[in-house]
Amino acid sequence: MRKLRKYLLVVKTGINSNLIYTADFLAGALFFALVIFIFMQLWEAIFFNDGSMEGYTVNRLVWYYIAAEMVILSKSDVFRSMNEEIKSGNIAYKLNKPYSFVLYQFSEGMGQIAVRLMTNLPVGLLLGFLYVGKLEGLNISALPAVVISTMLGILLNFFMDAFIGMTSFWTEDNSALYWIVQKLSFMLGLFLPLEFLPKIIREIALYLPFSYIAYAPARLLTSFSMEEFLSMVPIQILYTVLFAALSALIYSRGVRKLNVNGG
Amino acid sequence: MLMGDKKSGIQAKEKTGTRKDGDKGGRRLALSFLQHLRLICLYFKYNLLSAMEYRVSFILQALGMALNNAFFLFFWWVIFQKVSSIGGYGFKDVMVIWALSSSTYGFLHILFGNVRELPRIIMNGELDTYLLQPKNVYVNVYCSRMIVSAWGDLVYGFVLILLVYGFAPLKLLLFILFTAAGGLLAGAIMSVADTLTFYIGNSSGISRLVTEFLINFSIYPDSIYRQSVKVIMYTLLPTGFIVFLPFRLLSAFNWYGLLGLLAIDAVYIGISYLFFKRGLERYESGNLITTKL
Repeated sequence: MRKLRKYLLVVKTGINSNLIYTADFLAGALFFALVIFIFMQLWEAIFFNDGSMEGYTVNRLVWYYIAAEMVILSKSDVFRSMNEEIKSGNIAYKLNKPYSFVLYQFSEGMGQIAVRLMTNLPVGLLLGFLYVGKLEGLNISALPAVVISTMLGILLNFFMDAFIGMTSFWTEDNSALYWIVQKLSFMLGLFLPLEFLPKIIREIALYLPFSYIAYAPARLLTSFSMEEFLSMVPIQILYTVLFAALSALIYSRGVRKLNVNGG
Repeated sequence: MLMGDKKSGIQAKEKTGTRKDGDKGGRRLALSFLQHLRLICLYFKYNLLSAMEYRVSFILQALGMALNNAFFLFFWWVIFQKVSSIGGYGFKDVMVIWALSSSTYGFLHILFGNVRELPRIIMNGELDTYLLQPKNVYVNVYCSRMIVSAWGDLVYGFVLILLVYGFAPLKLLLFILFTAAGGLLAGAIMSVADTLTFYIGNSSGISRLVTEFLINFSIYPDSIYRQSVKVIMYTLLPTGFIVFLPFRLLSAFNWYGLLGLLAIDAVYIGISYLFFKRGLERYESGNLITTKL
């Protein structure tokens, strides 16, 4: 219980420190509004002559994008933070503290995510309602499933970022790897629903973890069915647990070979 | 008559004097321009040599960035499998926009890597080092750093333009010119956001937003936006002059368009420089002793 209280305090600190930097906080919300605005305009221009595409109307596509982008933009800075801690050698000062480095990063990240989610949610809802109105065919009873899937998507994204961040125990520069993984999650479910992709790519994407970050929650919001829920959420859980375990493993291996010069 | 001669003689002398002063001023300006061009070249050379010290990292970062951009090619390819045109833009047109944006921002961050870093430099009092050097602070501070991954952006743009137009020397020359002019214009706008730090305190949030707006408005066809957004794109955040007018000139060249574009670029850069100069007068040193390596 005492251990839990310790990490809850870190979550609280994460929330407070993110709320203090008002400019960053507002800049994040404005950026979210900008990308949604651009995609709204893009979809409208594409659908100019056509009512729907792959079962998506402008209304559903805009809500799909809002849901997907909310998961992606409500991420924490865990990649950058772990990268810096390891490369600068600052991690050495954290190792002798009475907490687990990974759980500390996780708790701090959750604080950051909570603030970003609470900012992005009203911005996304407001823009969606103002621009395309209520989501067509919204199934209220599906919302708990969407919330579960959104949380899992955010957690999966977090552990993937943490995992890549900790590759810096071995590599001098892992930013290229980070960009590529990031873009894979953008292309396989953020910018476009998987239904838009060629069949072969769609089928491969369903086996990879990237689509379970943003595609799963956005798809459940716009086209909920129990069948889709049961086919996607268990895989989200599986990948989240897998990347959490991999993060713990890479940390325990990496920290053993850590060599910090100077003081 | 004599008086008149004397007067006209004095006037002639004054005129000659003014012309001489003007000539001197012009020569000084040209000399200063050349000196600063040399400074930019030297910074470029040493920044590149320093980046090449970590060759694997350099190649990884540049390739990673090029691959990162290539993912967007996939996005547009998928879209254009579904529709033949978006607001009058075809797949190749979007590729040209991407080539221009990518190379422009690549060029900017290779030569002027400290753009967007100025708020941090001012806030940390690191500007003192630049003030002590006998070079223009505006040029000196911005070109003293190179962003290695920007090489990936620059090369990616050139690869795309060669894929779209093939080896067409005139188009390539124009592309190089637009890359340089657009890069300077984008840098001037980002610099205005940076310079706000002199006036209102840390403006890094604004600077980041301005950059995001500039980049995001540059990589989608401008025809998708309404008139009000287009007004912003041709005034406050002039992506119209960074990417879209160059795109039109690449498709259908005309001299008036080119000269007009270069004149507009010069005005924006001039305003940005004056804004910086005014701001610099408000700078107060924190007397922090730093070393610039």
